[in-house]
This record gives sequence, structure tokens and C-alpha cells, in this order.
Amino acid sequence: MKQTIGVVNIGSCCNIFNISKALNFIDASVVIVETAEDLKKVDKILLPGVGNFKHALEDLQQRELIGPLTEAINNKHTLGICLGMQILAEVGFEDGENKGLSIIPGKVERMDESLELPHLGWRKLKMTDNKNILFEGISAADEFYFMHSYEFKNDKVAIATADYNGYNFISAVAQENIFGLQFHPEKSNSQGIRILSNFYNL
Amino acid sequence: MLSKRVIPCLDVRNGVLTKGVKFENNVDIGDPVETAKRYYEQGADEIVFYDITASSEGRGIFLDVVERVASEIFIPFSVGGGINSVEDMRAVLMAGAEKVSVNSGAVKNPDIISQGAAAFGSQCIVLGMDVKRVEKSEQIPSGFEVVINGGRKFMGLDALEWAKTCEALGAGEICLNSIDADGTKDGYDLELTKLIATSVTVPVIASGGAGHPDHMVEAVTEGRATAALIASIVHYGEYTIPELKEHMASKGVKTRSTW
Repeated sequence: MKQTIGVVNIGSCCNIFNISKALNFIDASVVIVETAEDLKKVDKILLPGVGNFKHALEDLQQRELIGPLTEAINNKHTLGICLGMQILAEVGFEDGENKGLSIIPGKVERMDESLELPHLGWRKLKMTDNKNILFEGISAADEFYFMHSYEFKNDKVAIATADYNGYNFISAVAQENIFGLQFHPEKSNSQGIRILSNFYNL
Repeated sequence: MLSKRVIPCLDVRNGVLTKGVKFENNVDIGDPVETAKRYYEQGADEIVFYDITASSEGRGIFLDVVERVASEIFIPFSVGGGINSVEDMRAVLMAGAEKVSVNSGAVKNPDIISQGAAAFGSQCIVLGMDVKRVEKSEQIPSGFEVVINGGRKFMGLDALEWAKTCEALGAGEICLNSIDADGTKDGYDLELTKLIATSVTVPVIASGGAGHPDHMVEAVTEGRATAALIASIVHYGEYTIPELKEHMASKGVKTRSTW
């Protein structure tokens, strides 16, 4: 049965278009979630990326979405991408210390300052849980597109890491029905589409 | 070590894919959407799309073509041509581009780089530079001058100084095109590429002159670029992208090998 994925507007207009195009490509129906009412219409939730941790939380707060969104995420399959994953954490340190949605334990910190940031480019994943359903059909040789300066910190929820000039960071997390990716599957060629498809078919 | 990127460049004129030599005598080749899709399926790491007459004709970019291309390809995608304001940038990003390339518009008003970087992040803002060799002079100490409006207007601006200025303003990447090498298939201008790539810390994409896969190897080794922009070498079917990547790998250059 065709499922509806709710792409939540977290104040990052540009990425909503790209992620929606990729979801349309795998034949999913897409609803852009602007209100608590919209959340009731969707089977799965996708939190898109690109933007600023503090602004995203402020934007959700202003639209009175924090409560309804948290409840929906706890009850539906959810995929967070880049910033969309990071806001699931308890706290983030972009533009000062800011409270996250506190759905997955962990914090979001700026990557090591000795690295050139933003971290931009294609990287292989080191899958620590390669049996994870999200990674079905994905091999260790496949590369994914990263574009970020902040990273999720909590090894207990990591299902993959990646390496940036010797610096190891979390590239994917999972907690029961909730998944998060630091890279952009919508920009990662057919392997990225495969991961979106794996999520869609859950 | 990051894989070196192979980036096909689609010059578009009146909605049609085109290619010239040294920015002149353009020949129409085909449909940009179909071509972008073919390169995507062949494993291109990124695609660059220039509306080459938008600036000289003083009009906006073809957003419909951008949107159609963005619906077919799921890799990073940058768009340039006629970008003169933050609003122009926003329109292109909303149409599905990952990055926006500013060229003539930045020379006329450098502040759009810092404004764009503040609004969308440095990773979104690519400085496109069209450069021509000239006599070294007090005004142009590097012997490389910035030219705008599709190679039509010399600006009295030194390419090296300009690259550093734009990096400081917040450009996240530089796409460096040699007009002298463009379309010649004789190889990149390695002296120019190395000069700029070793003087800035942001990634530099070498552009103009690729006619053999060895040229691409040279661009990312001797030229110190992080990516090779290609056009003629693939547009006319001489090489496919997998053939280029295999050749680069055989010369010890790491590229993304699955897609």
C-alpha cells in the first residue's frame, strides 16, 4: 500500500524540495508537515536537514509543534537527516547551548576545530550494525554525501561511523523506530535512494 | 583521503545544452535534462549547470530547467549564470540546486558572497571565476585576469587577489575556469590551477581544457585541485564517466567507484 511520508518543515525550505523529489522518485506520497493537524495524516515522519539547530528548535516552538511532533516521532517510523537527526538529541551547541527534542540520548557538538569545516564530500560508511534494516543492499564500498560542521555524540546509538582525515564521527544512529543519518541520502546517488527506500518499506 | 570529484559541466543557452571553444562558436548538443540524467546514472559526483547567456543578456536564470534537472538527479548540483542577488540565489536553491555559483554578479557586487554565505551557509556559495592570461603588470601581478559576462568584459582584477578576497568573504568553493584552455581539449591550465589552489584553503575545481583522462589526473595532482570539471570530453561521447574514473584510478587517483 502506498504510504504517506510527512516531511516536517523545520525552517529549512530548500532541503524540503530536494527530499520530496527523492521520495516522489521512490513512489512515496509526500505531505509537507506545517501543523500538528498535518502530523495525523502521515504514516511516517521525515525530518529534513540543512539549517541551524537553534533556529530549528525556535521555529518549532513558535509553531507549537514540539509536543505533537515528539509524540508522533515516538509512535511512528521516523528518519532524521543531518540537522533533522541532530535535533532529536538532548542538547545542541550550535549558537550556544540549546535544548533539543530529547528523543535520542546524546548531544550535538561542533566537529574537531583542526578539521576544515564544513565537512563536505563523499565518504564511505563504517557500519557498526550492518544488519540494520536501513542498510540492506548497502556495501562498505559505497559512498555518501556529507555536508555538515556538527556531529551527534553518543556511541551507544550509533549504527555507522565515518572517517574524516582520521577523525571518526557518527554517520548514522538508530533507536527502535527512529533513525538518523548525518549524510544526505537524497544527494547520495542510487545508494542514498536505496536507504530512503529501505525506510519507506519498513 | 576524500575521493577526487568528477564533475560534468552543462552550459545551457536558450534551454539547450551547448559547448564552445574559448567561449565562442557555440554548438548546440542536446537536452540538458536528459544529459544530466545520463551523467548521474554514469556516476558523476556532482553536476554543474551554467546558464551561459543569462548575464550578458541581463536576465534571470531558467528556473524550469533547473527544477526539471533537480527532479532527475540525486547528487549535489550547482547552478550559475545571472546570479546578482540573494533573492536570485534563493530562487535557484528553492528550485532544487545544492549550491549556487556567482561570477559576474560577485565582481559587480562582492557583498553578495557574504550575504549569500550568511543566509544559506558557505557550503552553498561557489565562486565561479573566468580567467584569461595577460601580461604581468602592476594591476595584474599574477598575469591572470578576471573576465566577466561570458568572457566578454575584462575587469582589471587580478585572479589571485580576487580568489583570496572571495574566500575571505565566505565563498565555500572556487570553480576556476581558464578561458584560454576552454574547449581546446589540450589540458587544464595547470599553472593557474596550482596558483589558486595553493593560495586558498577552500576546495578548487579545475575547469577548461580536459580532452584526455590524463589531463584530469594532472589537474588533481600537479594542479592540486580537488575536482575536475569536464565538458567536451564527455559531451561528444569520446569517453564515459566510468572510463574516466577507471583511468584516474589506474594512475593512483582515488575516485568514488560505486553508484
